[in-house]
Amino acid sequence: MIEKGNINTRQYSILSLLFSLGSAILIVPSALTSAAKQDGWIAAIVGVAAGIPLIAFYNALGARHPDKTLIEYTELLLGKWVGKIVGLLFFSYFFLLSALVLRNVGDFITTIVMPETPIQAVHLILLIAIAMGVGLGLEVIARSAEIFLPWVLLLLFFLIVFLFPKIEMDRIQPVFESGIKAILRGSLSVISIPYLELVVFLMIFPYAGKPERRGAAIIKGGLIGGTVLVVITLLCVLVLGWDFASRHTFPSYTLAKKIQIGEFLQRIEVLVAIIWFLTIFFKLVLCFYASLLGLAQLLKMNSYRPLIVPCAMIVLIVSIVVYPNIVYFRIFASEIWPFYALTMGFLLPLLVWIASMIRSTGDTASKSRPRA
Amino acid sequence: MIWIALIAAACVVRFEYVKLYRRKQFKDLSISACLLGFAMTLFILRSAGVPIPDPLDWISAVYKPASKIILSALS
Amino acid sequence: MKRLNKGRNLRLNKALKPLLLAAALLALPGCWNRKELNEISIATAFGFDAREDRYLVSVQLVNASEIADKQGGGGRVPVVTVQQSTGRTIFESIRAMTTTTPRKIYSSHLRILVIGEDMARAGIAKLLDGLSRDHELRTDFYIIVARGTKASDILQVLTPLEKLPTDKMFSSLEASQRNWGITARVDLHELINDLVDKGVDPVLAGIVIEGSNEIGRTDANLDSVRPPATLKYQGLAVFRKDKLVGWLNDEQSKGYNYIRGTLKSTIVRLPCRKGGELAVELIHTSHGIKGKIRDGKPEIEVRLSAEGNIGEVECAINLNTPRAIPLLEAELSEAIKENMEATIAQAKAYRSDIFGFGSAIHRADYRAWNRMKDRWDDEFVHLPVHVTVKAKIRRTGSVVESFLERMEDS
Repeated sequence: MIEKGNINTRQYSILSLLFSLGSAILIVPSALTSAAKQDGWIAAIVGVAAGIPLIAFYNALGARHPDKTLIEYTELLLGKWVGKIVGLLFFSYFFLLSALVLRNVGDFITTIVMPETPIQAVHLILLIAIAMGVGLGLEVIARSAEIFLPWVLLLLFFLIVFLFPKIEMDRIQPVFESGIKAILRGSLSVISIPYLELVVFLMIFPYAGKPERRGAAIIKGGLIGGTVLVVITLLCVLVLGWDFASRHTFPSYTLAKKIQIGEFLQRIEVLVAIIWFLTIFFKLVLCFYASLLGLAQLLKMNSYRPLIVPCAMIVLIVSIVVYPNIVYFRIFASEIWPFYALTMGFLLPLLVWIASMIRSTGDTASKSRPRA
Repeated sequence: MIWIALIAAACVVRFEYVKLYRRKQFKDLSISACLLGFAMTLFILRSAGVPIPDPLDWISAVYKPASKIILSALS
Repeated sequence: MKRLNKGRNLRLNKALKPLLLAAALLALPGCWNRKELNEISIATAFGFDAREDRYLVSVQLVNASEIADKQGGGGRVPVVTVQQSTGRTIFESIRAMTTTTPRKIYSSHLRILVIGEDMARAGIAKLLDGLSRDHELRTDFYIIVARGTKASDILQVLTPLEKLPTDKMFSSLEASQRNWGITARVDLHELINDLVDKGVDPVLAGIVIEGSNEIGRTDANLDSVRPPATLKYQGLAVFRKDKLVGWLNDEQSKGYNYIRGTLKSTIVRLPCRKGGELAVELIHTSHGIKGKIRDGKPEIEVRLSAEGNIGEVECAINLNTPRAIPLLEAELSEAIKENMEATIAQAKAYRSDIFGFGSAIHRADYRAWNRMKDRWDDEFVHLPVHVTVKAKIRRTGSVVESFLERMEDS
């Protein structure tokens, strides 16, 4: 066991909540309204409805091996060569995720707040914090999530409440105009970000409190996060109109710009940027942690600590290389990413799960099933 | 950029590798050193202006056909 | 493993903390994006005119030292300066202005954007794209059209009551829309929405210079009690898509605001039975626009309910009788209704759906709308609109009966 950390169930659900909000809150409303126009919020609901069973599936898989991480039992179940290859694929998924999430934050900061700042500087500073977090271990990460959670929730609450005066119910009409196809297309973006990425949690699953409480915890976090996504998307439509929401790269930020209470409570959108920053931080830290732990387990190392700095450096380069401009990213995120994430986040775990069922070697399997 | 990489590499060597060497954890040490070497290569290539291949391009190549089929079904 | 190291790392930690603090200090002030106050010029208003095939951009910049100086040191230096520049695109023009302005222009405090009438007639869409992309610009500034003059002239008029002419334009627009109802506060967000939506055409408030243009831009304008030149809002500019096609006069502008529901308070004059007039002050309106498809043809219903008080009575009428008020209410409703219908007729003459009737149809039945939306300009002209107004008069002010009546009697 490389990681000796121990987090409780509450921290587990807080982490899954922050993870679900993460970069999703920045990117997804735009994708939803591009696809489904003013029905974007309906697409969000569909996406969340599809995401919850997905999380339940992850939990079922993890529960079969309650004290091993995904990469550990992948190798056990699929044999030395196939297992290592699949494990390597998982690792590359987590690693790429880290680079992409880092790039999302960098883009956000350099587009909105400080455009003349070179993006590498933002990435570097953030990576230093990430490296420290990962170096200090899972417990520290979870505890700091507990500290930041009230702020995130408070700021979210104010964001939603202060926008009420700006809502125009007309903007949501006509409802269902886009039709079921467009709504399904939109829901793809919610399913892929964040739900198919929650497979990362199978790497910290073994360390998270009592095994029988883990499922409820992660579903709670994913559900609350999903609800917030739906509400934010709904607000984007009601306050900005679907056209604006789809055209802006970060509509939730534009949403915050609209807050105006009396003459004094305005121009406070940077506070909202803080929420996004915090949630993305936790998503990034978890993805990076999962990739480091996974690599260490794949290579049977004693600890993942020696990997931190080299991998951080590689993430820095990859995050710059990964797309040349925001347009490439938008196209990639809506056309390619859902299918890649589907393979890595669903098909591969499904494969592992089938192998687990076939071998009937689930560690807590109380009944042995005959081969199907 | 590359200065940062050099400083980071120096720190790693000074703080981590010494520790690993003393504990005789040579496997960890060599894996980390390989990765560090790879990272430094990337930094050098980048500083020299050599274009680095983009993993997203590879993924796009693999998934483009599937994407086209499914997305046009949903249009 | 971790416990063994804690002792040795204590030294490291001590060194680490100030190092991290220093790193944070590096990151926090945003070194690359720093904007020192003495390096920027705060722009409060922009003006755009068309000059041949180029843009003439004018900027009203705050003269910071003049503003800050409470005693107004001698006051021969104007409070604002206006710089101009021409270029083929907006961005180019604004950057070209650095050849004359001593500092870079900071646009986050922009309050007013003036578009010259010539430019408005040629089309404003291209102008707006550059504006919506700029991250420094917010969307909360108002856009107005310079009527019969150039935007750069508007920006050069000094105002006696407000140090910053832009503030005067801004607050005057807000106040007049709220209390008189003949202007429209349109910000960039709304304007772009109206342009994109096929079911609405935009409308912008118009501003003119009353009086002498030449004197208006000098300090002489601040010297007399009655300034030789004032900025005044007059009418609404009607656009079809993004081109200006006509103007609504004050009465019609009121009608527009009635229909859109943006009229909060205004004065309505009603004729009295025996000659003379009285004025009703409206204090509250609530509106509804509903679209319907009947036999495949679109129809619109506009409902307005208004509440008012009697503001001024200039005729001999006895308000004390039980029938007086309901009669007045009926007249009031009728007057408002005629106003609204006149405005609708004028908009039809311009073939421009400024009320959003198209959107209402869209909301009611999107399939029918999809069939009609490309022909909406024509459909709109023949669109039957049923206006119903319900007005109530609640109070008569501090006095009930007017002394005028008693005066006549005696």
